[in-house]
Amino acid sequence: MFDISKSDYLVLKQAIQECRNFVLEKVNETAISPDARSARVNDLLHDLNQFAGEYKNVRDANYIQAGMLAMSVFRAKTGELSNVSMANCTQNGSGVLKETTNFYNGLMTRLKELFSEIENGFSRISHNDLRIPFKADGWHHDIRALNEHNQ
Amino acid sequence: MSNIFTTNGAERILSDKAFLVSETDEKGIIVFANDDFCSIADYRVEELIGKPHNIVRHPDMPRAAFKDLWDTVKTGKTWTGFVKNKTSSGNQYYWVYATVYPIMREGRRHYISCRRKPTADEIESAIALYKTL
Repeated sequence: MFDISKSDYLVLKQAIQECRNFVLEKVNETAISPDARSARVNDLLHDLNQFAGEYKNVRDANYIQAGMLAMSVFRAKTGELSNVSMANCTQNGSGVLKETTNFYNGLMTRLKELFSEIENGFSRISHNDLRIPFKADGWHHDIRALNEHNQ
Repeated sequence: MSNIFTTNGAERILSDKAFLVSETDEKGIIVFANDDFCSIADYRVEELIGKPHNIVRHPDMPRAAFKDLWDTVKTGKTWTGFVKNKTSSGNQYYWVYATVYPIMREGRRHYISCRRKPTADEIESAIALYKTL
């Protein structure tokens, strides 16, 4: 096949299998050595090793992104509405995670605004300061919308 | 019994779906840990927060591995490697494949660590490597 020796063919086949295992996350790391006798096959092995390294960068970015998102959601459960700041670690990340993060950040920002409005509303009520009416589209509108959504 | 690990003698083996996450400040003090981390290490989250991350460090781990970790992440790069950790009692241990990355939290450098299951072969290789360090 491709005019290569059987031993080189097996080396190449093994390297492709290792790449497959790496991409499918059956292993966490892989290193492909150019151990073939043929210079051309070694060139292919070199490329495979480089591609695996590039994929590792993407996978590492995805792990970190997923971790930060998980951490932020976990924090939110305790009432800490922190946004996820991961601009530097998403350069290689997947599009899906980036979109998820953007959505999450938008949601957190809106929730923070909502809670801030509620806090402000309660503060005004507790201080008998109702000279300025609540905004028609204020937090009570959001809560009503949430209620209607849940019914 | 937790569904994120199985036990084999003193070893706890992570399931494929386990995803351990923790965040430390610049001094390595834990500021947050997720459920999977708490579960396998046998801590409640409030027991971990405020403690140094090396609370789970197993004595078999060579110092050189952590020096490499810190040297890498302090330059802003991602560190990946295999780590043996101990549970709260110290009687059990678990191996992880860790990915550590520096982040900025309110203007301060923090570190986030995500851990997944290593394969048996990877653990064997790590044990052999760490014996040489």
